Amino acid sequence: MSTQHNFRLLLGALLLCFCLAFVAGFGVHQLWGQVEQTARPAKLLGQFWEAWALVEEYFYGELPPAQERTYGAIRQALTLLNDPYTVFVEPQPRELERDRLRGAFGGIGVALESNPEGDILLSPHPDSPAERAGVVAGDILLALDGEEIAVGATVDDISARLHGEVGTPVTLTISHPPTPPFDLTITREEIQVPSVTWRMLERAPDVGYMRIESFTERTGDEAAAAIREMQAQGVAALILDLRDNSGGLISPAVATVGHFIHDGVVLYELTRREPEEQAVEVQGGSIAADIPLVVLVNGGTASAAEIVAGALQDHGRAALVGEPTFGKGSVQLIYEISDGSSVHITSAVWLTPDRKRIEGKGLTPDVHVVRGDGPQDEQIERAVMYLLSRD
Amino acid sequence: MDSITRILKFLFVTTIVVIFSATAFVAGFGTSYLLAGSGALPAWSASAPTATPPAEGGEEEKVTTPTPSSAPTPIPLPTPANRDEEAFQTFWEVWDLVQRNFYGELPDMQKVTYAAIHGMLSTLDDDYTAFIEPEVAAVIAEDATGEFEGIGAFVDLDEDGKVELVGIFEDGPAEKAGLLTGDRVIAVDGVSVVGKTLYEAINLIRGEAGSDVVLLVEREGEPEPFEVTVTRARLEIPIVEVEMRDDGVGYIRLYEFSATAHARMKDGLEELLAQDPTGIVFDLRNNPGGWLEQAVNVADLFLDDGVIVVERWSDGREKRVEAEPGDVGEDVPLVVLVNGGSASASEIVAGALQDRERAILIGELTFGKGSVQRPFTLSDGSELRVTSALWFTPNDRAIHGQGITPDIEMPWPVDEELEQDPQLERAVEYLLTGE
Repeated sequence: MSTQHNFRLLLGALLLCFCLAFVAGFGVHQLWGQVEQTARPAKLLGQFWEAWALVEEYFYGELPPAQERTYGAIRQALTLLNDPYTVFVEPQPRELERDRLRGAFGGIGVALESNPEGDILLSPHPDSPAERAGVVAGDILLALDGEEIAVGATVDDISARLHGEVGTPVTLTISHPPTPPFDLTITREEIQVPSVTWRMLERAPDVGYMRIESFTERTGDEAAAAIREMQAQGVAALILDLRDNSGGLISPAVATVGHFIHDGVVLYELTRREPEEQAVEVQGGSIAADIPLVVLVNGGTASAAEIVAGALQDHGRAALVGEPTFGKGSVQLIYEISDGSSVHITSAVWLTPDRKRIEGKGLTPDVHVVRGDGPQDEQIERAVMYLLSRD
Repeated sequence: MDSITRILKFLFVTTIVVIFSATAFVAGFGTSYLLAGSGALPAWSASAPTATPPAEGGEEEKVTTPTPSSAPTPIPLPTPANRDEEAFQTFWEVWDLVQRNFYGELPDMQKVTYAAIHGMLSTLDDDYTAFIEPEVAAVIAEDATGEFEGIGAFVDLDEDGKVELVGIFEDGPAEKAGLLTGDRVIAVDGVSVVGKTLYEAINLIRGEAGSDVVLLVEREGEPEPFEVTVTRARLEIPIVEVEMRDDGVGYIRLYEFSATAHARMKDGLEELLAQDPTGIVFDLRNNPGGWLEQAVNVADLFLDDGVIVVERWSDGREKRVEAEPGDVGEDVPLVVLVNGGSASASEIVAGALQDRERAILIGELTFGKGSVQRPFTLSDGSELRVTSALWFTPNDRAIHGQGITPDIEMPWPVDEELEQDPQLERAVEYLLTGE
């Protein structure tokens, strides 16, 4: 065998290898792409990318960042669903939303208010990190972490920037005339926002009054604690105030129902994919199954609050006193997106234990009474009368 | 020794073959990747962008409402950058979740695509960068030619979603068939139009010249809807109005700068000039604009040379468009009527004639739209208009957001029953008296 022959053979083999491998590589990628496409059946039509590219190439003005254009596309696409509850929440409002639903957040414990001049006024909560650091009600916030407060910044904008991980510092530049502006560095702590408040009524000392503002992650536990404290004070009847409670998370709502009934269905869920309704039940563990109960409702009682009121009504556990409720009978799933935004998706409708659909109709109170304009809360009055007349 | 050499040789060859193959594999994979646009997002790979602008260069650019034009020349489209794909990933995360979880019916992907385009454009904060869906684009495109094939009526949707005839062309098919202004069309060839968009209805009513269309019509005073058969014809959209006044002044009005604006203006001017007018009133009031090219040519009718308009891109490049001598209207005394409804192409013409001291402007401050939209026809026949440049008058005045102030301001009187048009009368007075 000559070297030349050897060389030719080698070259030929190499060429063949190259071609085969090239084709293999090409094919693998093509197949891979197909797999991906079947995994994601829906795709935008080509016109979207045509438009996207044309705008990038030819638009005269300054283009907003790709992310903002993407958010615009998302918002508009969601409007096609014709559902006011399926919405996209951008990262900053998402943070506030998460904090709200959690019922607690990392912060410095200060209320914000903007005055007509556009200044942001501070007012520290009692015994909060802000108060301990020396923030006084009426202080004007000039800058946050060295960044000046922009003209037109909203309370929500600032609030989102004050929130942060527990243990991290935030520096406030504060104006407190006549003192020259000064900096305060405050470490964020866990700030809790109670969703449940309670008291024993003055005019009927053995009647307890418990108000739930909204259903946060902690509401079930907070309600249990409130009930136990009222029981310690000898509560004989209870008013649960769900007026203007626009809802929140479902599981604390179910837990709250579970404080008052031993077992049974709280709601049925109907989703698009499951032909069967899914029952959500409570099992045991009730701490106040026997105490006479009235639930106050009105047009602002919505969603998770309607789940509680509807379940207690259908089980014959409580009378509803007040006005017809809002009528939001759908369930939203909240998903966090990788860029920190979130999307709320209406995934189900729910029915009360008696399978009433409340969407657009609301719950009808057993005792219809309006609040009245006077100083006296007529609805609470009627609830007390109702409870006392039961005996 | 010999065996070691052979083993070494074998190893050497094997290594080379392996490296070679690996390289080739990567190259093949990469080629496929590049051809597809991206491996990460099938949404991208699936759509090689194929949009086509109507033509190269600035000649076909438009400065407002009307639309497309001649044979599109494809140009290669820029490929979106990778960072955009990453940002757009958010869209897919959201939409996947919606598809998996949403309780109600899902819209088809064409609707989603259009909504996404509208939403994306809405973040640009520019009212003139717009997406026009195919059926609307088709009607606008036909209108922009200055001619169409249909029944010869202006239509609008009434409150109940019926198609109301708001104007009937003289001697047109609709008139010949006995249709009246105020008639409401509820079905076309047996297809109900109630609940359709205006442009969907127009697309049904229009059709080849010589063909028949059966309209189901409601008329005030008639107890039942009745059918009317109309034979469609090829019709001109009236865009120029010409009148030789008894006082010796010629009046010419242009309604919009559609594709035939220059030709019809030229015809109209020749008709007037043949009657030797003292001067000409050129009425651009409530003219919303149209093609840039038409604006330039119309202005050129009155100018012998020099700059008409300067187009300037965001990177600072500019194009100066100049007049050519030898047009019909270069010498006749001229007054231009403008008002707040004179926009875009109208402002180009008015601004050029004012800056070049070829005419005086009478009326009210103009609209103030000084941006140029470049129209693109997308692959499904929809249209995208992208604000791509600003234009300036010959004296380098910016019009955008400012408008053009007339030489003689003559506001339209409010709350008065008018027997005549005071702005027109003022223009005639100027031409007759010189002041």
